[in-house]
Amino acid sequence: MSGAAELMSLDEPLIFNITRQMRESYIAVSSSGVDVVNAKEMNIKILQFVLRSQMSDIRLYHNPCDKFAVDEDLQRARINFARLYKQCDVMAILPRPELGVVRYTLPLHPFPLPKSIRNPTQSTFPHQLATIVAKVSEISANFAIYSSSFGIQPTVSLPTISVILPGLDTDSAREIISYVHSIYNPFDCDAFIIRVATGEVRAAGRIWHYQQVPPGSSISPNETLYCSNVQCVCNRAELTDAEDEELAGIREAIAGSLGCYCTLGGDDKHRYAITAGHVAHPNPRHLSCIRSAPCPSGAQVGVRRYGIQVGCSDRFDKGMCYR
Amino acid sequence: MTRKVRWNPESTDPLAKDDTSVPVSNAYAVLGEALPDGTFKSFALPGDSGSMLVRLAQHPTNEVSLTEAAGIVYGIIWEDPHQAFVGFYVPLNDVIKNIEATTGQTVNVSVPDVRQAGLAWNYEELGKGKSTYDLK
Repeated sequence: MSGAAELMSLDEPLIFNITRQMRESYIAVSSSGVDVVNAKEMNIKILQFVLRSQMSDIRLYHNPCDKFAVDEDLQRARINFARLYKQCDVMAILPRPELGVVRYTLPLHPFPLPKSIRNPTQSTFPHQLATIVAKVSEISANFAIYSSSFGIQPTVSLPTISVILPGLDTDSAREIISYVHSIYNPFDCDAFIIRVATGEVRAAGRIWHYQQVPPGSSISPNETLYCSNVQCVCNRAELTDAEDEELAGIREAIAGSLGCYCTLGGDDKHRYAITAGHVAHPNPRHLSCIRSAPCPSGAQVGVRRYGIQVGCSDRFDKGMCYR
Repeated sequence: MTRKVRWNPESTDPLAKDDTSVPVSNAYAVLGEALPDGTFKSFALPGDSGSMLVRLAQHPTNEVSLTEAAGIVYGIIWEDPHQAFVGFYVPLNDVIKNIEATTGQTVNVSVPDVRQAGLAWNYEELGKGKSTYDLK
């Protein structure tokens, strides 16, 4: 093993001496003198740097499978990376495992590239992608290459070009990995990280791609939500047990549907969607107004919202209009 | 059918047993189609919250002559005796009245049908045949 994998395969990696001290120092001052917004941004950058380290070696991020075995030393390094994330996560940004679930490592997933990444990389990305495609197609007959963000959750992820190959133990795969490592440094913040993984291509059959989503379709992503509102209660560094339980629903995967569209007054330009209140706003204390919703022309949703009283109850079910 | 309901309207979670802060209200519910064995087909399932309940008027020749928007589904209750999910909905007229009362503006759900202009509900068909891997 070499590099990050070797350093992290020790029982107690040396970096833990630093990160534990850093965590203790933060906890000592957190109640009196911390700018929460800046602290959160800096904490995300630290976690992203740890992610860069993990992405520097395919053996540290590729899931074990029949084409890729993980030995004892490597498994220890992976577990130590999960411990490193926890020690660095002083603002409780990372997802907590469900009650009763013991998780030794943090799974990594692809996510859509945020616009904040997409725009600044418009000049460098095409060249990097063209270079990778040219080299991979020269060496391997079968491959799939795509760009995405990749990480633990959308906020703790990095722009990535994924190179999917049929296997990793072939000469062509080894040549591709060697080439990628020789020209792209995972710590270069101006370039996409190259992620190599195994996969296969399957026929998807016939699909229908709707540019505008019809009424009755899914309005929420059925995937774990995260709150981008740093002022929201669910983003506080420390929650009481009751708050933690109450807000668990925010972090769980939920799905809901769109009712119908409507327009208000004589304004035909803005179209609103009507759905149930708990779909648009799953928790009254959750202040974030960002929701995934089918919306014509990709316009921003959640800009304008109404809580509407319906039914006969003194308190109310909420109908929500989204712009 | 009309029913009565007392339920936590904020989250749809059940109310605590001694919580009487929410009064009993009228509710509109839909039970699935009755089966010969006394059970019912599930009309709605979790995840259907927020969707539009529509009523289809069928012509004697089996053609659908009219589609009416009945309401917005907001809760799904599991009924043990019937072994079925019951869908609760708010009539669309009530929704419209309340949006108008809150915003002070008239609501128009007759969104222009722009299909004729080729702009909305337009889809692109990709690939061929049926997926053998349940990809959707």
